[in-house]
Amino acid sequence: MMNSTKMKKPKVGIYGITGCMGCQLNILYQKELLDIIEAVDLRAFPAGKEKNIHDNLDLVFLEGVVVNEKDLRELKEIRKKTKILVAIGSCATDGCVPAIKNFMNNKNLEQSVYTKKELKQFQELNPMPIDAYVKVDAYLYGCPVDKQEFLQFIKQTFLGKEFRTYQKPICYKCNLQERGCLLEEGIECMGPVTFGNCSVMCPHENYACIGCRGPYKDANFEAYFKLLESKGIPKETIFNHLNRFAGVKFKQMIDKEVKEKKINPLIPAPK
Amino acid sequence: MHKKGFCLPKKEFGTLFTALQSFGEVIAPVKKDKFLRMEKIENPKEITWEGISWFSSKKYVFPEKQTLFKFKGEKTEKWNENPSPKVLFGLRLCDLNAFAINDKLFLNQKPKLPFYKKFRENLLLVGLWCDTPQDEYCFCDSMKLQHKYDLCLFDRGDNFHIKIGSPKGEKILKKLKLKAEDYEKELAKCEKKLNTTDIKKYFENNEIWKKGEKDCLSCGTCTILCPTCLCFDIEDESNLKGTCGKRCVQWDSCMYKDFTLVSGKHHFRGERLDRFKHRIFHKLDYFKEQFGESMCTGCGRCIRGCPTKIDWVSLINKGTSDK
Repeated sequence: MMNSTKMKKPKVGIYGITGCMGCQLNILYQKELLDIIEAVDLRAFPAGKEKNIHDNLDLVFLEGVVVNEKDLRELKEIRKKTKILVAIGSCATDGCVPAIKNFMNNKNLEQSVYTKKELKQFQELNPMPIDAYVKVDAYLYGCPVDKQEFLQFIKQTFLGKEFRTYQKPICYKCNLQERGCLLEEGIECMGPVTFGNCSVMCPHENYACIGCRGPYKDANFEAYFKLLESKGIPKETIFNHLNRFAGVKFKQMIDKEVKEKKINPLIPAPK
Repeated sequence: MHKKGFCLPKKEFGTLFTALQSFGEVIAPVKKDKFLRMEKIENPKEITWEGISWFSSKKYVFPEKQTLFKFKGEKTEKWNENPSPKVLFGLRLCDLNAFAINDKLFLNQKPKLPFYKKFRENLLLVGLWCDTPQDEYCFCDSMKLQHKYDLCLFDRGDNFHIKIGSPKGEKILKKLKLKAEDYEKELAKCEKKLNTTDIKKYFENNEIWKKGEKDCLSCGTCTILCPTCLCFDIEDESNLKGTCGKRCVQWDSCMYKDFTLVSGKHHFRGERLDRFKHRIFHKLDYFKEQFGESMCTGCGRCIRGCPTKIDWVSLINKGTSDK
């Protein structure tokens, strides 16, 4: 293990493209924020400080989803400036709410755009997570990004270790907390198909998991849909749930499973 | 098992309860938000006498997250706390046997887990005999369970018959000066049976296992509820500078793909089918080869708690009786 006190401080940038800034705020709300700032050379954080140096970075945390050409330009510039790019939050990792556009009738949507200039921007691109355009080195999931996980990432990276992304579903911690299963009660929880490692506060407070952390890489969608149907949950609800935070990634995984198992398509097509 | 035991009128249950409390805090099955849970109680009236707890009691010997050692600078300090003594009251025979199985692994084998011994020594296990199966998922009478407890209570209407299973239990009961009596009762007959003869022959017969694997969500609920599933993962935690921190053991599950991830990004059991089979064969076959008895105690928690209710017991019965 390297002795970090002798190590050069890593040059860090924290940026955002289109998004709600919630993830950057969550970083500002970190209890250990001052320790983090002390441990790194925080060169750029436009949302948190006035003077920023925008080049020669080691590590960039990027929030937000690519929705237009401007975002794409910014994203590509950031990628060039940094050695390691970390996607933080559901927008950057999975597309989040803006990416629902991929699953809707765009003609209908366009009618609600105010001006012609905005309409042009609206038509430029389909909202996509950042790994659709550039190489991403690590992912920190959640809407917003999980504080504990963010801290863990920083610690492990600074100690020269590889960040561990052990694939466990939400159910793991739900069971550890002796919560019992919401699906058993007929509630459409997304726990079994969602990547865990968060604090599982939603199921803990009796709210179903809504899948903000994107797909659990080893999910069995066929079994999951069968289970939901047996609980009387309509297909449309399932479709809406899947698309809320990580529709793009869920679709990729479901399509892959359908192809591998040679079964009928699992999610209903949008109306 | 010998017939001898002692008679305790139900009216005088309070005296036993006080005697148990003199050992340590009493943890007993209590109905709480629709689950039967093991909770600390102060009054015998809180006990629910029927049913089997939803979650197993393994956390009392092996907490879900346990520190092995702490370090500060160059110095390390082993975990050296003294767990408070506890009485686990109202355990069913399946859970009592689960403790005995876990003891085989963690007490009588090397290397030993230091914390397990400490937790285990501070436990008093008091059983509650099953006259009838607790629900349709129980299949304990197929698992050849043994009388393994410190004390065990048998319901005889107005009285309890109490059997002693260890010196620890004898010490507690001595205080009460009870009348000796002879009584014997067979374990409940379960409707669910498990036929494990020749199960090895069917290892390659994937048709049987695929039926279960198809519905498996890989959520790990079965392993977390199981009283004898104690596979673990080791993780280090530290502060930002890496100058102080600790190493922890935490529960893991063989149902997760990454459980078998080794360097070079290789998965030993990358397929869901392999993992599904591995759990069943570990319980019924591999452990038997090593220790002479099955690791499964027939509590049925893995079927009861499974979101998709995969009934692997019926799968085996059907699969092995076809040919």
